Amino acid sequence: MLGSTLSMAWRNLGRNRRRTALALAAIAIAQMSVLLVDGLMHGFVDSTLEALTGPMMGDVQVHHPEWREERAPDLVLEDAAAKVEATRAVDGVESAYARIYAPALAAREVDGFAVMVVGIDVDAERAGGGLLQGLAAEASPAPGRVLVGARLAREQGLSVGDELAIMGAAADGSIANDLLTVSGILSTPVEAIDRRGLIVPLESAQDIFAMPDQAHEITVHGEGGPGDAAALAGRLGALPALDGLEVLPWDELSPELAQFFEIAGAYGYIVMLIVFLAAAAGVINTMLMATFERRREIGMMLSLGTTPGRLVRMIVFEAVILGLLGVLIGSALGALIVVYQGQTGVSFYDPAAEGAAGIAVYGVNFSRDMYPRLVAGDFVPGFVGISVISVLAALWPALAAARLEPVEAMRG
Amino acid sequence: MTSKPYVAVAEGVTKVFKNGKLEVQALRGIDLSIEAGDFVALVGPSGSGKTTLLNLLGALDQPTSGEVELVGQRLTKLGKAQRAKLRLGSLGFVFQAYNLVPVLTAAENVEFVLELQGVGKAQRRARALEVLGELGLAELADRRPNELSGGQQQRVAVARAVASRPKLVLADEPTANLDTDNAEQLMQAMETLHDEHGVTFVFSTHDPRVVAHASRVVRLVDGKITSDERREER
Repeated sequence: MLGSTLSMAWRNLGRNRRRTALALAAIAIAQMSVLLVDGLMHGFVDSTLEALTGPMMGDVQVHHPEWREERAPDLVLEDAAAKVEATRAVDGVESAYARIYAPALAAREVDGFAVMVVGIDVDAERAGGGLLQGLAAEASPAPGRVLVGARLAREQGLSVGDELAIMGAAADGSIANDLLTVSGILSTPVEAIDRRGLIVPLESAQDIFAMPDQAHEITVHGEGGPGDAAALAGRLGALPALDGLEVLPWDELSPELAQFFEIAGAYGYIVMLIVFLAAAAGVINTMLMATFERRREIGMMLSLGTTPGRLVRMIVFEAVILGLLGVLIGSALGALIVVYQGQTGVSFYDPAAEGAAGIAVYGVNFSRDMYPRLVAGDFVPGFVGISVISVLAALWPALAAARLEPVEAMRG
Repeated sequence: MTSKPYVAVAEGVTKVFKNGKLEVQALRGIDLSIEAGDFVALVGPSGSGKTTLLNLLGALDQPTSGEVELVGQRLTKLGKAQRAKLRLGSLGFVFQAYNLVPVLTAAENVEFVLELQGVGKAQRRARALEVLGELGLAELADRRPNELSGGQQQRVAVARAVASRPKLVLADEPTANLDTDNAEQLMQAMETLHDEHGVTFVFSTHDPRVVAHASRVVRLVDGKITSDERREER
């Protein structure tokens, strides 16, 4: 009997094809909109995380427990090379490298300007995921040769071959100074590097700032990416070589960014709620009209002995089929569009604009395209939500119809 | 002559419809007994109470006063669900209009009541085709109502009404929307089912040509039975 009730429900949808098509369109557009927003959100989060954790932050960082708070040059990691080696040996670590961050004054001629000297493992950071990914070997920093952030170079009129004098505080309390030659200009989405960064080899930074085998940070990239950062931080934290040090995943290093993603997610839910309400209106309207129009027929069916339960099931099935079909169509369309966008990319900004710096969020410039994508869980709210809405939308007219006296219903 | 069992009995039945403060007395003390095998025409002008009486005999409505007994069960003692069960198990209906489920084929419409009764798929299909065949509709079994003429639709409704072998079939002006030829075909079909299978029919009409088919004619005027005449020959 369930089969024939379903069959009748299905056929009833074909009785007023225009109305059914309109309701289907409303539901499909709702689901498609939700998927497009989800796809954009995922793409946005991916590109943000990639920009942030990729070249600069990594998935996990290791510091002296007070360094992040005070940024004092002497809050260092001792035996940096050994610590990096121990870190690289941990399960799930893709790459790890030490860095030095030293604020300094730089001058090309007379006027000085503030810079951040960043000492990096050149080979490791060119290999993948680091600040120098994709940089030509001849442009790489070397002893006495420095890479300059693109915006800093533009603002200070620096070009390759220029000489820069730098002066800052060394870790041992002495004055650090050196004369460096600009070997290249670095374009990076990391705003702090772009605006103030001078990149030098780690060994040079250790020499300049009196930090033998010391560093301020170990940046770690995990095989599981940002999503696995917390677990990776847990494993690294248990490493004896890192005992007493602060080991934090990206979302604790940048809680405001994590919160930003949460807000973005909440925005997605609001969009979902609005479009589902629109879809609900479509289903309610369709089912009310359909039930009202079939009042005499319902009366006839009740006269023949149809139970109220079967009548309710038939009307509810009709609404659920309508809802699920709409969600299926919307899912297919939404997935197709998101897959296409995922291949072509969606640009945040006008690349021809002056500076083309893109949008800066939490110190990261989004000067790249983002690539929308979907995960299986994105489809679930639509299927569940629309099913529930369809049942609720159909229950009212269905129960009203089931309560009718046959004679009363057949009078119309 | 041995008396046949009664399938429906109305005793002192009245029905009053209220519309605001207005009361309409549709039936005024009806006493009527329908015997198994009867072929009864309820005749009377519009507003005489024919449909109201059929609705009461069909357990579709409750009398204001008096008693209606259907196949041994008193309607006043039955709730809504029990009345629905009684209708499903013992009665067949042919209505004036809106008789068939538009999304079902002729055969599926006939099967509908059998399915509600819990008859298996193969068995109900076979029964539906058998009845449709008896009524000359075998070739139209897979057509939907909108692909059938008005007369064919009413014959499908008759097929559905008798398919479950009910004790009583009630037909409310079944020929009202049909032309003369189709009305005649329908009445002949009902008559055949009555004569060959002993199906008990009570139908309302005001068409003298339809009345001519009845073996018993009950006349109603202003909610009262003015005559109840049995005829030996039709």
